[in-house]
This record gives sequence, structure tokens and C-alpha cells, in this order.
Amino acid sequence: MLERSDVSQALRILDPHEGGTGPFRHCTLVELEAYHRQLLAEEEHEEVADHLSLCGSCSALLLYAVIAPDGGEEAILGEDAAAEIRGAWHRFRASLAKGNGSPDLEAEIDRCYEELLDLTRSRTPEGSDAIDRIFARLRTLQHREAAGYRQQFESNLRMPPNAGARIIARAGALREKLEDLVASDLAAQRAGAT
Amino acid sequence: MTRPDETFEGIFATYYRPVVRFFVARGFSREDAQDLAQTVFLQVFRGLKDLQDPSLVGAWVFTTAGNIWRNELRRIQTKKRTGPPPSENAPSDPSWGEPADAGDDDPIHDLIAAERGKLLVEALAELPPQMRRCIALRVQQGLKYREIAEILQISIDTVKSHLNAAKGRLAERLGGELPRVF
Repeated sequence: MLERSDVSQALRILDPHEGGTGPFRHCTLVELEAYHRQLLAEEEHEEVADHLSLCGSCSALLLYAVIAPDGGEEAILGEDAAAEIRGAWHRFRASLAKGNGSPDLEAEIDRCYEELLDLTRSRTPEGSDAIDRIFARLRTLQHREAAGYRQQFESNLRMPPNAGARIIARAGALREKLEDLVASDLAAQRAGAT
Repeated sequence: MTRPDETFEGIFATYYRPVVRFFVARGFSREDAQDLAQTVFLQVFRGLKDLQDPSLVGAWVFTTAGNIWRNELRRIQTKKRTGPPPSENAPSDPSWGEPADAGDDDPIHDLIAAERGKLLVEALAELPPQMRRCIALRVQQGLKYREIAEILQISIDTVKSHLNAAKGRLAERLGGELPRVF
């Protein structure tokens, strides 16, 4: 009895891509739309049909993104496509941020700021070394945070509109607090001297 | 449909529902399909820098979806496999029997298989293109008659008729060996 696997193997031999005897190129969405609307020249139409019969990715792209992107007899998708996509996109962003460790990173940077302020306030002799260590740590974390945003940018994901401004604002706020501390300390010293 | 937005958000908006539908059509619940779609887009996002031709992002999304689907099938099959794992004494257990392909070492068996394979390739090559496409979509991609009809823009009856005719031609070419494969 002829098996399914026999036929599949024979078809692979005939596949120009598998056999390495011809060019292989996936279809673009635009090409598939043109194919679906029968806008291609006969020869091109035949080429696309040949490719579709051998390429599961392009046939799925045609079936699910061109012929019936939102419906079909098995479809049990929600009615409100825009809301569904919006929700899914937020979920995707959240999982991406989690994967990149962004919320943890932000929390850790905040902790560094708090520790720096505490150490500056306490002015203990050993505080100076600790401040240097925390500054070094802070710089590493900020570099990592910037690298995360750069990766998002390079991958064409929309940048958070205020990404850079947020980092600068946080650094500026820390600096202001430190300057206030120094100023109030100086004022106290002067008052003590008089 | 408009040309997809080239930002990742645009890619997501264009292909998210088609990918969910891809999984729903393969028997997954809507919730599972949505989870799997998220996995697809995470993988696509992470590999976006390797995509040399952005116009092929759709094919790439569905290649990723296909890979994830196959991995998920393997995972489900592994999970479903019942019974204890083979013990150290398993090879002596009579229920294990002889290896199923014991004849594979036989050179005559190999020769016959190779001859038959060659005949089959020739027989398939001789079929009219549309008939061969129907077989490929049915056997290699496992598509339903309706899906094959949609892809090739022919009626379901024509798909059935192509497959029946192909079966007859292959049987004739292979000396009456009737393929019950599609």
C-alpha cells in the first residue's frame, strides 16, 4: 500500500526549493492579494499557485490574512476587532517589558536614588565609598535601561514618547535633591558657627 | 487590505487576528490560540533584525506560527503519552517485539523501495499541474478540500475530482497499487 509519507517524500523531490534546482521566494502580502483578485499575468499566477502548493507559510498567509482575515466558518473571534487587537497589543507590550526586565529595572534604579539620598543625608564617614558604589551601579542600570529602549527602537517598535525625557527628569530630580541637601547643610553649618 | 504599517505595532495589527485564526482552525480554543499568537509575535519581534526583506514579514509570521504549532503538537503528544517510561529490562519484554523496520537492512528491500520511490516521483511529475498542486496541498500541508479550493480558486468538487483522478493515474502507473493517502 502506498503510504502518505511516500507521496510526501516524492513531492519534496519535485519541489524546486528542496531539490535546489530553482529559485525559491516567499510571496508578499501584496502579491497574494493580487493573486487572490486574479490580477496577475497567467504565468505569474501559475508560479504563485505552484509556490502555494509547496509552501505552508504562504498558503496560511493567503488563507488567514488575505481570503478571510477576520472570519471564516471556524472563526470564533470577537466581534470588536479593534478592541481585541488593542488588548492583545497591550498584553504583548507587557510581556515584552517583563521579558526585558524593565519594571524591575526601574524599581532598582529608584532604590539606588533613595539609597543615594539617604547616604548623603546621613553623612557617615563610610558613606562616601558606598555612594561611589551606588553611582557605579546606577550608571550600569541606566545603560541597561537605555539599551532596552534602543533595542525597541531598532526593532521598529514605537518608542515610549517620553523615554529619554523620563531618564533625564529622574536624574535631574536626584541632582536637585542633592543640591538642596548640600545647601541646607551649609546653612546649618553657618548658623552653628555664628 | 492596506499595506501593513511597517512599525511593529502595524505588523501586529495586521497579522494578530489571522494568526489567532490559524490556531483556531487547527483545533485550539480561542484562549489558547491567543496565547500562542502572543508567543508567535514575541518570537517574530526578537528576530526582526534578521529579516532581510521586510515585505516578506507576513510569510515569516506564518512560518513562525507553523513552527510553534508543530512544537505545541509535539508537546501535547508527549504529555498524552501514557504508561511508565521503559524500564531497564524493557528490551526483554515480549510486548516490545522486534523492531518494526527489521527489513530495512535488507538490500533487496532497499532496492524495491528506491525503485518504487523513483516511479512515484515520475508519476507525480507527469500529472497536470493543478492535479499535482491538489495532492501537495492535501498530503503535504494536510488542508481541507475547502481550503484547497480557496487557494487554487476552484470548486470543492473540482478538488475532489482532481484527487480521485490523481489516485487512479498513480495506481495505474504503480502497477495497481492504489494509494489511500488523500
